[in-house]
Amino acid sequence: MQWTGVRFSDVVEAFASDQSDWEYVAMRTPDDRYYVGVDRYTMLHPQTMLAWQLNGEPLTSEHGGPIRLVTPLKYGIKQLKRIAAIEFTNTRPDDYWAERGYDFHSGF
Amino acid sequence: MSSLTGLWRSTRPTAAELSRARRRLHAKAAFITVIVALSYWSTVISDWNITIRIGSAAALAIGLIAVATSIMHDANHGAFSRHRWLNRLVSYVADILGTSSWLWRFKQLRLDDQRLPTNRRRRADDKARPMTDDDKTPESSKERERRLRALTDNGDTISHEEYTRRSRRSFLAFGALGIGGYLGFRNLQNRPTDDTIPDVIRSGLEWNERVWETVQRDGARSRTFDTADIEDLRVNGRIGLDDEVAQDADATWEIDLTGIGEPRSGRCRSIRSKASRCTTWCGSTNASKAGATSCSGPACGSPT
Repeated sequence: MQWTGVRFSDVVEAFASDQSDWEYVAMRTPDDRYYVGVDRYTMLHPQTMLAWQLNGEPLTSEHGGPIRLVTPLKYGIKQLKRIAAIEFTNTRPDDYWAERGYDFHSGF
Repeated sequence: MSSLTGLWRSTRPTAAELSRARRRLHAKAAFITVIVALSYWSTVISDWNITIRIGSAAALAIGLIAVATSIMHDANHGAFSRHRWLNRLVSYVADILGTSSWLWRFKQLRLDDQRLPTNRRRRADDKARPMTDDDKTPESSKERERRLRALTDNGDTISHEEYTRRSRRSFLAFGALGIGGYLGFRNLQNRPTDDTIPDVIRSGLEWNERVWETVQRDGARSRTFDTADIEDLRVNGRIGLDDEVAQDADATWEIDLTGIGEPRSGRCRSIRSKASRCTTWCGSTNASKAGATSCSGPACGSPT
């Protein structure tokens, strides 16, 4: 796949430069039905991005359009589609699959 | 008595009958192979609907049983071909199916052999050969020893007591493993839970996480691939995507940003235009596809 978007670290720089001591990022879909928490290392990794294109085409709704998280460091369950809210926090956020017994880390 | 022997001999197949029987046997083997191949393809590879594939799975099970009871059985008995090497080669499908062709021959030919009257013994491993006068001559114990050794790849012979001892040991070990597995599983089920799963499984997950944290380092990059290797992405998770999204969501989408301190809000649109560096990244779910480490594609979407 080829993703087009913006590095999350650049988003932090442009929109949340005053945020420095956070440990996690929490993200949610507009209906709050799916939500994930991701650690700081992953979110600031240069290959972690908010994407709006897949293979050169605008992201379809089922692939998470208009904007979604993409990172090679985590399983797909962490790469939230259709992001409506982003929160910087120091406590481990609610996480849809972690609440169901899965691994919060869910990464490589 | 001699008329009885004559009657017996008259029931023996002629060479022509044997040849015809073997042709039919080979046709049967080919038929079974086709059934297995087709049902495997339909079950595992095709994207036909689930009803057809459940039927295929049943056909596959029956086909594999037929492989064991026909092709393997014929070959181990030396009936598949008149060439010993070909029988041996085909008998290895037993090993592919997860058992042992050597053990099968040992059990079926060597042990069963001892239950047959002496002058009929050679038929057990050579049923497809026409009966000759030679077959009626009782074989000497030396001949028999040589023949049995040849059947089992010149394997060591063991005493009956040793055979019994090994069987008992294997049986007890198998039983102990079964009981151990059951008790272990019961223990796991009854352990205290940590975050909804048994504590030992949770600590396994946490150990895994600690291992990965040790390899985190600045500058580490995941492998990238050439754009020529781009593949379509299968849609997987759909939770949270039920509501319709407006056509122009791309331009009007807003993301609520909540920080430690002041709440703020940003727009997807402005995220695009304000991003200081636009970037593309190519990943692939197919790790076997080697590609260049650079990823060049169309430029990032320009702000709308």
